[in-house]
Amino acid sequence: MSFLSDLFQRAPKPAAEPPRTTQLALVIDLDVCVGCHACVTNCKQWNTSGEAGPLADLNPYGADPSGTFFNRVQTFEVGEFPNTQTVHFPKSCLHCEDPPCVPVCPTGASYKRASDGIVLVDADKCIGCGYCAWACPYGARELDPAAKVMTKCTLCVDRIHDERLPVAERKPACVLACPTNARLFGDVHDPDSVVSRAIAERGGQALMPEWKTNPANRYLPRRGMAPGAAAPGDATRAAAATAGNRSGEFKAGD
Amino acid sequence: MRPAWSILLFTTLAGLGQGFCLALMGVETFAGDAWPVEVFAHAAWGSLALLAAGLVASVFHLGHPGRGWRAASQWRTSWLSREVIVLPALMAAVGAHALALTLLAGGARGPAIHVAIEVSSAFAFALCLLLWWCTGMIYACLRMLREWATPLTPLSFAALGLASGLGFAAAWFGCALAGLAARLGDVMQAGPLAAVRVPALEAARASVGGLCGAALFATLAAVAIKGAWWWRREALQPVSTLQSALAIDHPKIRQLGMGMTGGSFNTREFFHGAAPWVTSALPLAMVGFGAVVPLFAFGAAAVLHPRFDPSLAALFWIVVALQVAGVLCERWLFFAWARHPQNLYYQRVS
Repeated sequence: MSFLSDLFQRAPKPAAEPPRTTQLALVIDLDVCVGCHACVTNCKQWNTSGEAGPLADLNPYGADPSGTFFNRVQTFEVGEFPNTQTVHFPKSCLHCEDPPCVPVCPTGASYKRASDGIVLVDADKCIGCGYCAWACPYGARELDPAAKVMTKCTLCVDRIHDERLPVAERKPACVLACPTNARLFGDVHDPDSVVSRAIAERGGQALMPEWKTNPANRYLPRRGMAPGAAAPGDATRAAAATAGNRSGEFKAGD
Repeated sequence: MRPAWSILLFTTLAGLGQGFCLALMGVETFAGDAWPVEVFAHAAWGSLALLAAGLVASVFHLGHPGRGWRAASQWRTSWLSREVIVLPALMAAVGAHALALTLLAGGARGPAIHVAIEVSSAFAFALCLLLWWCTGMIYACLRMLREWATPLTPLSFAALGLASGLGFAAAWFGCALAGLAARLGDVMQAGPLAAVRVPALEAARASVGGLCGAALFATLAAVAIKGAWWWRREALQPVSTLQSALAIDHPKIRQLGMGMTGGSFNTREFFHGAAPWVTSALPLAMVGFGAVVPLFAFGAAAVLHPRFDPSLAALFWIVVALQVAGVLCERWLFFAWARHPQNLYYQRVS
């Protein structure tokens, strides 16, 4: 029976091709994000007016607005009152190195570019079956209700390689918009890039590593909140416990 | 997951057509002499019609049906692509089978027609099984949807399709038997149909009883497989947690906002959104209509068929309709009971 359980449970083996030279990705600093949604707004503006657009806006001024976005900022509360922290959590396609959304696509519309590792959807080949969205554990894809095709973050592929733009502007719209520089952009396969250095120095985390998707985007955890994090959080929690507070909580400013 | 009507109807109707096709192959093999050829021809066209109805339902799932032909291109990696190839291939085989039988019934003779019948039935048999495998693997290959990622998923698609298709065949051939008996009864000017006892009719009557017995066992198998599927699902522990979804190592995390107030594709596609009474009533409907009713009906018919008045065969259609309703309930719950890890990010609107 073991071959059966292998067949059904194991992650697909990484492709045997040689390692990609470039894997563009975002690195998001959760210590710095203030949850202003500027990245969401600029992403929508750029992509609704660019090659991927227009992106649907259903009932935009009504009580129940809905629409397609490539990027969302969610908010979570970590800890127990009064020792809580508010974590703003930007969420977009993670451009996995082993993207589960690509092999399931029946038309080949969903693909990963060998040249820069960006996962893209060819809107002219997409039949709008929605299967790739089921395969993505992160919910990174949205079927556009007006265009009836799957949409997702393109890392602003239509501007990052545009040589007519000044070099400083060849970045995704979300990165350019961020007022606190919480979003870094670069090649995670280049060990000297700003993103690789940030991942190494701050212990950049992959989301849901249990599915072996090997996401390219990484999250720089709040200091003391990383899985298996050492000193700062533990020390603060231990200090809080000895100070008579309930253990396992953060103190303000932790 | 949100159950989509197009997919519920497609998998239910195609499964019914596949089961009916296999039942027809069984009757042709084991009771080929008991029936006039046109009965088989009509049944083959009926099976093709069910498959075609399923195909039409599936088209409504696509945003761009006109580009559907592209879906046959990625058969190397995508089970959906494989299904897109196998379904028309099965329809071609069943259509060729129906055509050859129709020609034979119309008086065509020669070895070629018999070869065509044999070859098309072999292809149809294999492709029926292959289509269930493809359909089931579309769901079972998604490792993140752990409720689906089990060999029990393709098995349950096959068992439920076979059970409903055999029930459909019992009703179909039961009505054909009533037609035969009525014609024979008119000729002989005999009394009540139940009293008609001629050898040819007895063989046909026995094959209807055989179909009822097969439907009984297939339904039992479906109950066992689906029971195991459900039992496994109940025992599943989530692999992904809010901690792994956010890469934050703290036992207490709660969502304050999901980044929008009015909902999105993520809140529509991955939640069934049904009222609690629906999710608690549908399992009862699934078991009642899909298992209890057919088990009693086919069990009684399998035992009583020698004394059964063939004109009552029309009642089987009520059983078949209820069983199909039960399969639809099962399919709805198959989706609604699957918990997608992305839902961790969509717990609360603020």
